[in-house]
Amino acid sequence: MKKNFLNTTLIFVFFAGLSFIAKSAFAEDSQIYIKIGEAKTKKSLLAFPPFQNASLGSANANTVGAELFNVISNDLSVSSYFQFISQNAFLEDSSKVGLRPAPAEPNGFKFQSWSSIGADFLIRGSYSVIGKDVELEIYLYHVPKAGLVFAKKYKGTVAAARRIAHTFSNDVLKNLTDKTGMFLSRVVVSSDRSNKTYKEIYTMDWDGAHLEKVTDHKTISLSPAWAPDGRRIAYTSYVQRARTKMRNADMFLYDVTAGTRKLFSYRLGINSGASFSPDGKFVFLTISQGNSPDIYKIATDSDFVKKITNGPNSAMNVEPAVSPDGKQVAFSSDRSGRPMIYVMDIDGSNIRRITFAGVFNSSPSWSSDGKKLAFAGQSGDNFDIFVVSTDGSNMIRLTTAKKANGRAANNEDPSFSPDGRFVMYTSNRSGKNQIFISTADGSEERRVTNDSYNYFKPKWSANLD
Amino acid sequence: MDSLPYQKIINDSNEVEVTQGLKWSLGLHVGLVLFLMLKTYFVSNDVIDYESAIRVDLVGLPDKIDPKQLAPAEPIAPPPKEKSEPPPAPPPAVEKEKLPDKSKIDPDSINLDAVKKKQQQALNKLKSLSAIEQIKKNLEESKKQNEKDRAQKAATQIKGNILSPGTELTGLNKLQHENYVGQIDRQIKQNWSIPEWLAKKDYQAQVLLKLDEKGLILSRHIVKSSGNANYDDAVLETIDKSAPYPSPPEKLIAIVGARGLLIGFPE
Repeated sequence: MKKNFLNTTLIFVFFAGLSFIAKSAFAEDSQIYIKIGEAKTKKSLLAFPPFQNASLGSANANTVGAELFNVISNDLSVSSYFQFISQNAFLEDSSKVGLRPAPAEPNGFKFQSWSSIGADFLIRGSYSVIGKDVELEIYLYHVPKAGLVFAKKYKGTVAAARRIAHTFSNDVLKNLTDKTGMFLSRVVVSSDRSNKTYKEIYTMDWDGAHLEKVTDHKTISLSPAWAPDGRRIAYTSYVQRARTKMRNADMFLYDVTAGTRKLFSYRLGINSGASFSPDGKFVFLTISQGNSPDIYKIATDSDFVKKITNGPNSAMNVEPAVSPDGKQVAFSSDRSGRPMIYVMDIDGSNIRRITFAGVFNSSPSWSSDGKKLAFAGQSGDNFDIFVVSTDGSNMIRLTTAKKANGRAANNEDPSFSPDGRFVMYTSNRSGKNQIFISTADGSEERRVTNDSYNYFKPKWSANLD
Repeated sequence: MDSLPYQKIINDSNEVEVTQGLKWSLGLHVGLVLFLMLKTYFVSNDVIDYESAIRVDLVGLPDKIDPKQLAPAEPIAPPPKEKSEPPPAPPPAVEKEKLPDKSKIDPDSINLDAVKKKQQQALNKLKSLSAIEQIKKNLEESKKQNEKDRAQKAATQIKGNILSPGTELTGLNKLQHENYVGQIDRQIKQNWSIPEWLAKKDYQAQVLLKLDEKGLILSRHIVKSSGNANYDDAVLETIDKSAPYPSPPEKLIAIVGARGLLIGFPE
């Protein structure tokens, strides 16, 4: 009986020991851990008081200053990162205090004046115009931290004032996001500006300024495209041939710096829809040669020509768009019965269908990271702009605009911005085919051109130096 | 060899004793086990400390879902999603357009099939998505539950280091603790925002937050930096803005004050 008692006691001790070990083991890594999840996002409140004019009595100084200010305002507003604080709310007269904060600079501004109105950022700047030159001294402050984000002096000719402003805007984005903005990019587009019966090729800043005429063929010129470095433009024009007097949709290469052009592809039928390879050595284009159109690859400086697509069943394959890494080509094809967006490897193999919805999908354009495609899709009677991941998922609609008469407007020919955050396209919501941009998630849309002309197939360049 | 018979006698008598002892021992063991098992049904607490401690830990996991589900993590849908309907499928009426080549009607039927397939795919995708969501949620909950249980256990230990009556981890306390952690979670989530220029960058930061018995911040600092000072600042700002926090339940005061809460942004 003693033994049994002993046994029982042993068991007790054993269990007690076990439970103690268990308890201390759990105590070891006891840490309350909370996952908060994804943050809401908000715009930063920006205080942007007028620049100080430090010029000594130059006649056009105010105009230049206003231009600098307006361009930066528009850029930062378009960036969609900032909400501007109304100037009426300012507590400090920026024309009377220095560009730098108070304790350090005797007559400096006070961060207090800006933090109390809730500003996250403050831009202070002054400009001076001396002869044909302008200098902009400008500071970006983080108000809650009472710290300087960056300060810079920009110098240039008065004619380059917009450039200076865009450069500063790019610097702001670069400092905050580590990614340069798209404010120094340009657009090449076909337009009927010069004559209602013609279409000529033009270039302009992304915001519509600095319009320059590229062609004067006095005929229909269309489907322009940038070489990646922005120094050449490919376009198609129905120029009358000198000898045969016939007109054909021939492709030209225009050298932007030299102002010269050469006939690039002139096979009978369509030579259109150019897209450069990232190294600029090849152009992908649509050639019909009297048959159903297919995509070809042609070298810009040799005789190399290669047919990339072939049917099937005489289906058309058009509108090539080379991916930013140069490994793939997006295009549209009616091989499934209706025009849809496809992607293939650069050599024409491995064709994948990307879009299945709608009745007519066209004009694919790659985002700069190669992960998304923008395209124009027809659902009912009109086209709208959509963005889709290159695996066909996450399709979102960017446009829904209606015309004045209540009918849906056509939104066509999308082109991604060089930073991949925006898409540019044309829309006839105002009655004319005007240029618009939208953030790539469709949250904000803006009109770029505001005139009574028509624009077609805008293509966004990289940032141009 | 001549000692063999003697030995055998002794062995015999030993064997009898041994078998009897074994029987007793077995009987008592079984009885003890039965007693222990049954006792837990009739006597809830108090008598045997270690027993309730172990039991609570095992039972704790599956129980806790409800309070969490009342406050599900709300994923912030990006604003554009509202607008995001892909172009609707081509209406069947389009078939009329292509009447002439009915013999070769492929294009339309292919298209319709594709669209149906697409819709089905989308539906399936949605279903699997919500299923995955549910699994994720469950996982997270059981994980959190686990952590909280451990925290509670630790709390007991810190509190006494003497085996307490073993009543700590009953339903009411557990609810309190879950509520507490849930409250903190919600309170921070409400203030958790970053500037748009920091969004979509996959930053991650963790903060160790210590609170006193009134829920005031004792200390908070980044234990795992995102690598971006602005993001880390936004995290700390969120922690500060969310104060004061609810006072911790008694059992958690020690742990929240000494070990602190580890908070992940976003995880």
